[in-house]
Amino acid sequence: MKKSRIDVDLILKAVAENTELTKERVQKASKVLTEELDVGLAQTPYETVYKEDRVRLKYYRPERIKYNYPLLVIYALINRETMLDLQPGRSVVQTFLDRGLEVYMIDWGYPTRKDRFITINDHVNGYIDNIVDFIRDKHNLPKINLMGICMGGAFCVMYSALHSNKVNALVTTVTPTNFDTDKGLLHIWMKQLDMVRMADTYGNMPADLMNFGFLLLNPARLMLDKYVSFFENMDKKAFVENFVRMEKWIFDSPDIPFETFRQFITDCYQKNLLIKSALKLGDKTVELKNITMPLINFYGKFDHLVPPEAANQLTKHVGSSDTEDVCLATGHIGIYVSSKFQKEFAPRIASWLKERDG
Amino acid sequence: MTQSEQEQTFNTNMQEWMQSAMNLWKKMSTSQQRETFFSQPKTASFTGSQKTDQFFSSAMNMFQLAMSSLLEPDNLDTNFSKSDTISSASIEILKQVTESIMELQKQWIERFVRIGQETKAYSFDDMDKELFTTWKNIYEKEFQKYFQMPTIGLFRYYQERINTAVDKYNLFSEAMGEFLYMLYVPFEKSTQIYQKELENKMSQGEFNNNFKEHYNQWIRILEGHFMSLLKSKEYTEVLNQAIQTYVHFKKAKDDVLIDLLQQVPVPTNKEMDELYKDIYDLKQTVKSLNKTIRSLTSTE
Repeated sequence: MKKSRIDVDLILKAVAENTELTKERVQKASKVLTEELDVGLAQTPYETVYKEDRVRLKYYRPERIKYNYPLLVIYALINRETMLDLQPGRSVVQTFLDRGLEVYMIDWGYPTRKDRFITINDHVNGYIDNIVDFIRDKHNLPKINLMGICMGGAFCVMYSALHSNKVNALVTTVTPTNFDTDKGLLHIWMKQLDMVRMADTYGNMPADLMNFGFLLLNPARLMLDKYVSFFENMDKKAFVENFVRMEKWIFDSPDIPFETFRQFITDCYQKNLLIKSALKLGDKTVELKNITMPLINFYGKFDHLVPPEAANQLTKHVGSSDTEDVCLATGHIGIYVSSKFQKEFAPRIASWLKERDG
Repeated sequence: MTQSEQEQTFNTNMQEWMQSAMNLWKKMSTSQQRETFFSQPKTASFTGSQKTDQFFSSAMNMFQLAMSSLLEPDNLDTNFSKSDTISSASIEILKQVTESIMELQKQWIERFVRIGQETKAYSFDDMDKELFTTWKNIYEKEFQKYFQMPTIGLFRYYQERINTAVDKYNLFSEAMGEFLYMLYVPFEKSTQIYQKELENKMSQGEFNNNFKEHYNQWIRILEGHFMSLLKSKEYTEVLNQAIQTYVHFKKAKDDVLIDLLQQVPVPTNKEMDELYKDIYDLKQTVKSLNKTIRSLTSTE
């Protein structure tokens, strides 16, 4: 019987062609990487209107104001709020401004060791409450709209439950509220790993360690394939600019104040107190039934950090009769930055808020 | 035979044995690498890992250097001739080190005998952690006690803290080694599986010239392996162990640094934390008073 034969000539030819292509790509890439690149983040103009400790409040004014209630965006303490204004054409903030919505956004700054004693209560009933009061005073309004992202969304939920008279409508996006799930690796690890002691020895929870943990959620893609993809496309200027912009955002990560981190891990991840309306901030209990304002809750079907099971329980536990869950077929970050969801996410929020702007 | 001659004979034998052990390990390492690259892979054994080999080679080299230094005539005089007590202690330590190395070597040889056994793809409950366990046991049984010996004298407190830091570092290194090995295993398993696939195809005369497709297939297998690994109980345990030992080491190291910093005119973290706490409490009081004043003013 004749044994089939591998055509070694063809293989060698393919190797030679690949080598030639790689050589050309590296030559072009060398030019691209050494010329001026547009990799700036958060380029939409804003004004800093409030400062307290390390916290800043950014104000984005639209050309024509078409809403009665301004929107306060509260980002997580992990990574930075610049993700909502990544670049022209991929900016949630710009979409809101185009619709005539005034946007305020909290910049939590970079906590240092001196911030290690700051609690969730200090964030929610301190900074956020002070900022809400500042905006209400400035606009002479009894209420404003709130939008929270991830951990910032959890803060918004806590705030809305404790100060429901100051919130007109609440938007939660990729917000973990039910921590009793083993769907996401983060949920498994935060229950089993001794991260609180790790944070304690450092003073705060170091951002680099958090980022390393996030990379470990999918090492094959995030630590290897991503950079192989960069190598394959590094001769394309637009690709390089987008890639570097995302790299800048991902690794621009502040530390998390120890006491806040400790409480979030023990009370939320380990005891799941928030969804049970048993979480205490200072001497007050966060009762979800007090959330009586309209609520729209966005989450990602393929979110590996806040899986649907962690996000889709909130609307069932609040006191509001005007609630809506929106599941988008994307991941944790894709909701905000992917080109596809630029049309499905921010415009939908703007329309939803407009309907509740009376 | 005089005591000096006995020691000389022991030292010569020791050197020869060390050389022999090094040669054996070197051969084993070389043959295992060839096994991996040129023939069908047979096991997910970590003994093929160059990093692991380098680690132990390096440890051996360091040990050998330390031994050579100890055996230099000047040091011999110092270490052996002038004090019977020190000489006995040194020989006792040498004996224990030798026994430990022999034990490790025995484990290695046993592992090589087992080459040929298959490990399951996408499964991490059959990983052989024997070497790490053995090394940990040897450390805890034979070496750790030296770092836990009671310290005496004026500087006993500082010496104790230094010993603790060294001990914690050794435990962390062991845990980190095991964690890094675990991260390496998916690469080995994925490569083995893909090699097999390639071999099957090539034996049928099939070979895809598109290297990107080969990479895509391999990375998919690798991702699958990582997903299985990351969800496994074993991984969480090893990761937790690495974190805990690191936390213990960092705390012990920081304690030593704080001791040292007390001799220079800079504040330590401990002192600053006390100050930060005072500032935090004061700020909370001021903010609370401000709010009260504002609300009183607005109601007037």
